[in-house]
Formats: sequence, structure tokens, C-alpha cells
Amino acid sequence: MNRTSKNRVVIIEPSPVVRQGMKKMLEEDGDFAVSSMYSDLPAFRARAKNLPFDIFLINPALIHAHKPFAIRELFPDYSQTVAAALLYGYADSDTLAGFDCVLSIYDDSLKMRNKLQHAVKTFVNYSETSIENVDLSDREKEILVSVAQGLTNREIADKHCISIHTVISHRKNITRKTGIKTISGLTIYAVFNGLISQEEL
Amino acid sequence: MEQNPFSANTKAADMALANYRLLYVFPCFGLGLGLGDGTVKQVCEKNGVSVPLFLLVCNLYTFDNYSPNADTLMQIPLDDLMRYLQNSHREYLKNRMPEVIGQVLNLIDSSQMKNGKMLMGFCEKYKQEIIAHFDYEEQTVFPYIRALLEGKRTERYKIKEYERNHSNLDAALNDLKNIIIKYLPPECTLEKCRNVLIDLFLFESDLSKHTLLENRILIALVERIEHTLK
Repeated sequence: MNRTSKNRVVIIEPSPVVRQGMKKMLEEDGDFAVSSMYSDLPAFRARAKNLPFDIFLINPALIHAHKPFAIRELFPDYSQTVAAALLYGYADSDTLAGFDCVLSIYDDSLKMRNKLQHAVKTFVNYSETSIENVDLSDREKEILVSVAQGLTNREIADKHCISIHTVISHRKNITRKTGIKTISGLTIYAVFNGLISQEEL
Repeated sequence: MEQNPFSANTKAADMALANYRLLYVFPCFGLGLGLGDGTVKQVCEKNGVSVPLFLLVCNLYTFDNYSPNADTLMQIPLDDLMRYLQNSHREYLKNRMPEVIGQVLNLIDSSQMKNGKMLMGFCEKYKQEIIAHFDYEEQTVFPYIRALLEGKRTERYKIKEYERNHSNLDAALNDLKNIIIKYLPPECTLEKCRNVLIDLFLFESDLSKHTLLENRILIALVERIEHTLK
């Protein structure tokens, strides 16, 4: 997730007072933007078609199925989205299982935003890794070799006749796919996977 | 962990039982085992450790969402905080880092890894990087803070500069984890890699808490002094 852009939040909560209060608190420091609000699940389903967002914040009292991970079953299309529960009081632990974070209405706004930030940062969708995620493309491998040889972004762009912007986006994808961030780490990856020999470095 | 934070009346031993990672924190305060049933307050007073600082560090290391309020912050003695940070630097360089490097070396030897030298080079480079990082803090940042505490102002340096340049030390550890889990040759079996991986996970999470302590607590406290001296 791009860190510079705001996290878009959808709120599903019956009380208008709480909805408005949450919106105000979350938007306080500019990291979050509440893109839409609904009073219940049918309203959300009817009106939230294809709107992209990063977090849904839902009152778990609206979920009547008391079984673990009910939240994920109710929103199969949103497996890439952080699910946050907004808690007034008691909720059974089964219903809460599957949420990525739990906010209490007694939390102050800083605490709420910290919890959400943490959930966004640590969110990993383990259930599915999309196919395009698995291997480096041939182009990415070429770029990786250049990175391992110590070329700067400018030099890589010139060598492969692409823009610096494209180089950066390739490098982001390489890091996303391999999990490796540092240049020396990427160099090791390239050698261990036979993309380049130690002598060519 | 989501519970009430530790307080001065918590038994120090209970904290270690609740969060075993504090076993790496205690020595940096000069505390060992044999704590008996002493409370935090008793143990700290006996050993000349600041209670608010000890609680702050232990809470930060234990509760992911822990964020101290302004009153708590005001009670933190800056010179003790710096001493703690310096002790943990020493602990990292003297014990943690050599342990990791030793285990990587073992792994390379026992599996006769072809490109083992590169992996060693990676670790050595990382070691130099953290040495430089700690040196900067101990030779530039901390002396600046000590001068501030004595009421001396220098125009040349501001804590903002530290904040801007404060690099993340955990990226290389994260890379090493990824390489070991995903990309080593089959001779490096899980059994051979497990200990070094567990050490890496622990070291990485300790370093990220250490960085949090510097970014959230140290910088905030120093900014307050800079402000009052204006």
C-alpha cells in the first residue's frame, strides 16, 4: 500500500452520531479519509458497488453469524481489505476472530489511528497470493542484474531505454515479490538464483 | 498483547514471564535473574534504575499499541534513557550481532555453501553499518543532548537533523531472513537454519522497538528542551 496516499475507510455503523464522530476523529491528522458511510450491511451491499477502499470499519453487532471469520465470509470480495471492528461493549470472541483490528469507542482518536495504522502496515493476505506475484518477469530479472552490478537508477534507465519512473516501479515490484529491500540483499538473491555470477559483479 | 500495561507494583519476574523478550531488556538496565518476588519499584530502587524509564521500556517492548501519555513522558530522566540506549548498543555489538554472524558462519560451513563468502560479506557490511549508526548517536547526538541538559545551546545542531537522518537498521535483517527462508540451496536444511532464523526474528523486533524508543521518546523529550531554551 502506498504510504503517501490516504487510507480510504468505509464505515458501517447504525448510529449516525457515532458515524459522524468516527469520521471526524479518523480524519484529524490526514492519514485517513472516510469515503462513505452506511447504516447496515444491506445498505452497504446495495450502494457500495466497485468503490475502492482500504479499510472497512464495522460494528460487529451487525454480524449475526456467530462463527469464526464470519466477517471474511460476509465479504468475500474484500479479502484484500483491512477489516476493523468498532466495539461498544461485549462481542463474542468468535465474531471478532477474522478482524484485523478492534477499536473501542472509548479509545481516543490517536489510539484509534495508531491501531488502524498498525493493522494496515501488518496486513498480509495469506489466503491467496495472486499468480502475478510469484516469479520475477524477464524484464525484472534484467533490471535486478543491473541493480546488483551497482548501477544507479539513471544508468539503468539509459541502459534499458526506459524512463526512471519505470525503473523505480520495476524495483518496487522486485522488492515486493522477493521481500528483499537492500541492494546487497538483492545482489545475493541474483547470485544465489544464478542470474549473475560472482565474477560479473 | 492487549492488556493493562505493567505498573510499579507489578512483580518484575512476572513481566519476564509475560514477555520473554524482556530477557534482552533487563541486562541493559543491569538487571539479571534471581528477582524473587520483588515488585518493579523494589527491584529498580535496589539497583538504582529509574522506575518510570524501566516501565516505559518494558511496556513499549511488550504492548504493540502502547503509547505513553504526557505525564509519563515528563518523568523520564533523559540521561538515564541515553545510558540505557548506550547499554543496548553495546549489547547488540558485543553479543547479538556476533551470535548471528557465528550462526551464519556455522550454516555456511556445515552446508559447504558455494557462495557463502557473499553471505558473510553481507553480514560484515551490516555490522559496519550498525557500528557507524551507533557511533553517530553516541558521538554527535548524545553529547548534544547532554550539553542541552546543562543549559548550553548550540546553533550548529538540532535534534530535527537526527530525526531526518535516522535510518532503519532492520532492513538488512529482514533481507537476511528472506534469503535464508526462500533462496538458500537445499543443503541448508530447516534444522540447520532454524536457530539463526529465530535469532534474526528476535533481533529485528528488538531493533525496531529500539528505533521506536529513539524516534518517539528521545526526540520528543529533546524537542521539548529545545523549545524551552529558545
